Amino acid sequence: MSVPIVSGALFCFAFAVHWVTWQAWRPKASGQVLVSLLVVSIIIAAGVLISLSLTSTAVGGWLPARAGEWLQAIVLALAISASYVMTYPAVECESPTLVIVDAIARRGPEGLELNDLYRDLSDDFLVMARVNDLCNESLAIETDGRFALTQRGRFLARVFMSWRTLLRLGRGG
Amino acid sequence: MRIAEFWWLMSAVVVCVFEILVHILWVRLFPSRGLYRALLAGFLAGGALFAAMSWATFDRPFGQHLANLGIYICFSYVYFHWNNMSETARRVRLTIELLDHEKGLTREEILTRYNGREIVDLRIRRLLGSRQIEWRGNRVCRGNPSVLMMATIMGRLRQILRAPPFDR
Repeated sequence: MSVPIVSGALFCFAFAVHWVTWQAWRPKASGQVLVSLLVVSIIIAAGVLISLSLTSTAVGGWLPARAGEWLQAIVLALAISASYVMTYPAVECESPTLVIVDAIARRGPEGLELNDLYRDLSDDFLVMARVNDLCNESLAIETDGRFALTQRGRFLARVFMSWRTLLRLGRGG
Repeated sequence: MRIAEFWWLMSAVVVCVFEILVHILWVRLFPSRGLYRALLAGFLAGGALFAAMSWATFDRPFGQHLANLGIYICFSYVYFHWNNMSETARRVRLTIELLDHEKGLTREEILTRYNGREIVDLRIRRLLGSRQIEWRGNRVCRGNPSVLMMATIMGRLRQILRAPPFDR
């Protein structure tokens, strides 16, 4: 059972590093920083645990013994981190779907008129804030009031377009 | 170090690739049944293959089977989000809109193509389709609470990370 336990411990350590970092400094390109932080924390922590398992017999008994098991523990910890990274945008950029459901629930049994939602969820909140995110992540750039994609942004857009074409889907949104 | 120690890697890769293939095949064969049913079909097919492969390698340590199950579930979650993101993420839609215009778009031009009203309407339609909300007269009311639970979890996570409040 040492592999899943070590994976859980590696992820918990990486999450703790992320939490402490976010209290002190909140980066603009938060997605990229979050990925780097989790990957580096897991690799460093795994390196420390591997060294411990080689040098200390007392601790070594609780840790994976073979290279294959260590790699599996690291892959699982990275997989848990990837799941967290995919969830994170909903924490940082409040998903409109969750906002709508929350707003309707707050009104209780009488519910909500659509016009209330149109008024509360403005273009600035729903669209322009995300355009600014694209600029912060260096996926787009603003020049003389015009927003255009950077090379990275074009690459990302093409990846998603290709995927949606493969599945024969429209533009989404 | 022996190559046999990495048996789990092949198992994990095969199951994840199989899930993707079943998903793509399902979407192309039954386009009217929607993206999310296809994802469920891929997940279940991958799960069945995972169970068969685990049974065939039953002599390996239980912890490693459990870790592989964890890898498969995490992969499926990430794959679901990747597809969900391509379907619903505003940033993805905006990059696709901007891709067609090399010289860029002004704020007004962006809002002509994609705006708050369209975003709200798309989500209301999806929420009605999945019965998360329902019409009562000219008002929308709460339905199935699963997305509301997700909103509550996200709220808690925001508190843990002490994220600042949003400007609407």
